[in-house]
Amino acid sequence: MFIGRSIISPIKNFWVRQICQSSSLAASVTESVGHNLHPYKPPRYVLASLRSFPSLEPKSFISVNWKLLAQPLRRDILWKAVVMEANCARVGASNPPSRSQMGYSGRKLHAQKGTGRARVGDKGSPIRLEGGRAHARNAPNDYSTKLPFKVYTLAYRVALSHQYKTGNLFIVGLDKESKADKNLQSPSRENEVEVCEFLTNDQLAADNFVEAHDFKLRNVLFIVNEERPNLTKAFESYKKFKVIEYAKVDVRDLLKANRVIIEFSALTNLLKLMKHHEQ
Amino acid sequence: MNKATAIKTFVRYNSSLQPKFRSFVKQQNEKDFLSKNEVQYSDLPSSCSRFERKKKDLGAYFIRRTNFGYLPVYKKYKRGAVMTEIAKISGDSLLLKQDIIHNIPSIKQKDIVIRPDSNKIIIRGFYVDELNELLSKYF
Repeated sequence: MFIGRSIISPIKNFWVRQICQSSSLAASVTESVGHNLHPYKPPRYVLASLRSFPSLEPKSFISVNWKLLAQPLRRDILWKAVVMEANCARVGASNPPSRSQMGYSGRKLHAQKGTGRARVGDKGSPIRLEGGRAHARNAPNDYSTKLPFKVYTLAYRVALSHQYKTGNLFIVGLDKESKADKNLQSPSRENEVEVCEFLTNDQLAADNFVEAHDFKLRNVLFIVNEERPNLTKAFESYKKFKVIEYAKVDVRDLLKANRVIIEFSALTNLLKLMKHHEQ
Repeated sequence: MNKATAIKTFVRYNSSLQPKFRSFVKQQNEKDFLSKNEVQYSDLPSSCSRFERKKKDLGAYFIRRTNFGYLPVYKKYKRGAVMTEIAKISGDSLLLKQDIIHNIPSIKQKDIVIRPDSNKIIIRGFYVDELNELLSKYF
């Protein structure tokens, strides 16, 4: 079944693609009466709400450049980035012994001719039962591959844009103008903070947070600017929750998460880091 | 490309560009974040509702210029044949394909292919000049 699936699916895709193309082509032929083009200017900025932390209530909003949060979905670039990360994550611990590492003598086992038996070399030859491994390698093996930084950073932007488009990106914090706004500083919000951090490291805080937002079955990713000891301690027993600093986030983490909760300062710093690498 | 050659090519080609594209350096430096007082309605997706329609009604596309103000129309060699590639398309590439066939009759239906993953249009044959002439009126 496994082999069958891998062979059939591309053919299936091909036919599906052909059908899709032909049907939408027919539609577009009837639509385009005049021979003019149909240009349109896409948006330069998109709006994102800025939230306070435990409640995730929107406090203010900010407009973000389309390059960061409104990239079109590029699955080819995401695939490249994910494969590169998986390659770089390999430990490369396989350490099979070669024919010279088996500890045998290098003596020819019997003469080349005259015995009536098949010709043989030494005892460590890979064709023998207790021989060494052909093409052996020694740990640590480096399987890491490279990707141009412009492609890799684009993958981050595409992944973030996808989470934004599906409504799963929560930006925590306030921009400078909103911080100066006195209407946002009401006394009933004393417990709310502008960073992803609990006031205690008790697991109860995490339990309440998960229950309030119905995150129990979700993969949730917190992207923080600095170490948040209370947050990491509180979510220690939750396997699906990850707390990662902005510089250590992978594209894989962004894609695996059902909800991404990112600090505004972490987002700006991540962008700075990407721009630094692109130059 | 290093910085010196980048500036040289910019100076060389910027003079030949249409005036509306000369400000591309300014575009590159546009801010990442704008506060709620700074942003204009025309920049936001709600003003571009035609772009956000469902797949059935899609009827628009946009081709971004490169950082140096060119149209992203390239000549490529594949299997010994000359190809013309249009990159940086967002929106309905199928409609763009159809429009190109309407406008440049020497391009035939069988010679033009869309790469759906990267949203590129690839045409068999050399049509860079014709496409530049056609697309520069709109983008």
